[in-house]
Amino acid sequence: MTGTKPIKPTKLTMVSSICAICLDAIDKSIAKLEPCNHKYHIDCIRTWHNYSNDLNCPTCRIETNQLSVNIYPEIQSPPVKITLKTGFNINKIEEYCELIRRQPMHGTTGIRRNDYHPLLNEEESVIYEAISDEFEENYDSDMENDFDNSDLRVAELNESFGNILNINDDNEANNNPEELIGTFITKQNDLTPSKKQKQILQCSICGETNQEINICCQVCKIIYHDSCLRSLALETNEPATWMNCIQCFESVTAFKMPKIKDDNVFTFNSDEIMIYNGQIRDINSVLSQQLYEQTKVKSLEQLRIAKTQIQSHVRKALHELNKNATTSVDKIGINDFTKINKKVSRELYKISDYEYKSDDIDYDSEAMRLVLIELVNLGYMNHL
Amino acid sequence: MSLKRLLKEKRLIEKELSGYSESIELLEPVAFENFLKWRAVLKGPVNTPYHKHSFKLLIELPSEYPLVPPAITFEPYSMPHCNVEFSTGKICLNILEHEHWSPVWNLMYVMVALYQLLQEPVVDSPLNIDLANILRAGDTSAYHGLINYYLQEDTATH
Repeated sequence: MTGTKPIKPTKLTMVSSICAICLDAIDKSIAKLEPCNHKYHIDCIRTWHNYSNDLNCPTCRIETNQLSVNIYPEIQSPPVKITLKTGFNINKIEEYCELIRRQPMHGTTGIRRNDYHPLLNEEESVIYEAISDEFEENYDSDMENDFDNSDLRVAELNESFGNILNINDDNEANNNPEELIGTFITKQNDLTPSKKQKQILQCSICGETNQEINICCQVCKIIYHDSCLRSLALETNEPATWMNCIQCFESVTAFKMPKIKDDNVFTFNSDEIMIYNGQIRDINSVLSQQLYEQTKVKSLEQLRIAKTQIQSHVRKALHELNKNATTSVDKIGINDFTKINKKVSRELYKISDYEYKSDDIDYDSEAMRLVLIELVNLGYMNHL
Repeated sequence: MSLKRLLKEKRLIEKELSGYSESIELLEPVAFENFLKWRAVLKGPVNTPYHKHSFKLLIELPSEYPLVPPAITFEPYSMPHCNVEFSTGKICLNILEHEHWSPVWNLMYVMVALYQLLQEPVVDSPLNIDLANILRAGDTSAYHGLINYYLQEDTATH
């Protein structure tokens, strides 16, 4: 190998407004290498860096780390910065995958879950409590006395959660509010994240997972760095698409990245967490919000009151039947009491369109009628 | 990219060579239809055994030029130089290697670099070991004599 003394560049490379690679004037898509500030066309310099073994500036041979791109200099838009070293480094993703594999399943990284929904906002918490209240109300004072065994009670609780609020297993946002009523409550015994479904919350372009991720696609549930998305648009020479999802081409929206602890990767279980309205949300809380939005009820409080009122009619009917029961065989058991109460109440909610309409509906007789039907189904024939 | 750039280069080379050039006698495409093949004639620098001789070069440009360096050789059996293989004309010059090449350089720049190589042979990476050894031993008169012998034989045969 023969070395030569550095030669003064000829006139060709001295003029700054000419791209030294293609020798054309630079009027559009100016790409400025940092820190040396030599300018090239974005295409030229990116092509060269594909060919070269390093990311140095071809003019001054200084090691560069960033490319500052201004695609339409006439519009005074802020330049897009491409970090040359990490910008499109696919290896990052592999590193993260390796990290995940090394993590203990219930480790400190990833989403921390509290007992209930750590991600529920205040409004959703109200719904959650409302539902819980409703459940508690099934245990009337006099009935509860017969039912002291706390172990049994827990079992009962679990069963009721499972049966009454039959969980929608396929997690699909259902457009029918009547169907959605069943998806209120989280699966209590399904909180353990399974290894299979663990995913990394990462920018779909560069694979980084950091606080700077700020864009998401509502359709594909993919998140991006806004800078990555824009650099990619520049790379592919389609600057107009820099606010579109790279998969579905729908326009993207803002996204709020949850807090990450230092040096950690944000992992999540796709069964529990989803991206909704630009936020990381618990699936169940999203479902309850969708339900809430679809049921046309003006306020949560209204919904809760309507439920309580309707339920009181059902309970009244049940108690009346219990009082009239002549033999202990006819007395309605606690399980059946709760089951019937739930089923009939829900039937009545539907009939009354989630509003208490005492003028339009004779709740007492309607409740009695439905309760009797249920009793017959359950084999309490003597009531008839 | 390459053809457009080569047209521009050609225009600039013509402009620079229209006046007197100390180093370059000729630099032009071999045929007007094919811009990927050029020929050049370098002048022998003053104060070197190459003075008053001129040297023909063949330049082949890859279609990816300027992202890929041009392939340049002296005419075979014409250049006695410690960094040039005499029988093939192959040149050992770092800027013509892929990892040292930069797209901002051009043919004119490469010619100037070759002219410098004639002025300052590098004995550490020789392709002509005989010449390099004599030069390393510091026997200047033998060095000059051998080159003159080569060059005279060259002019005699042609």
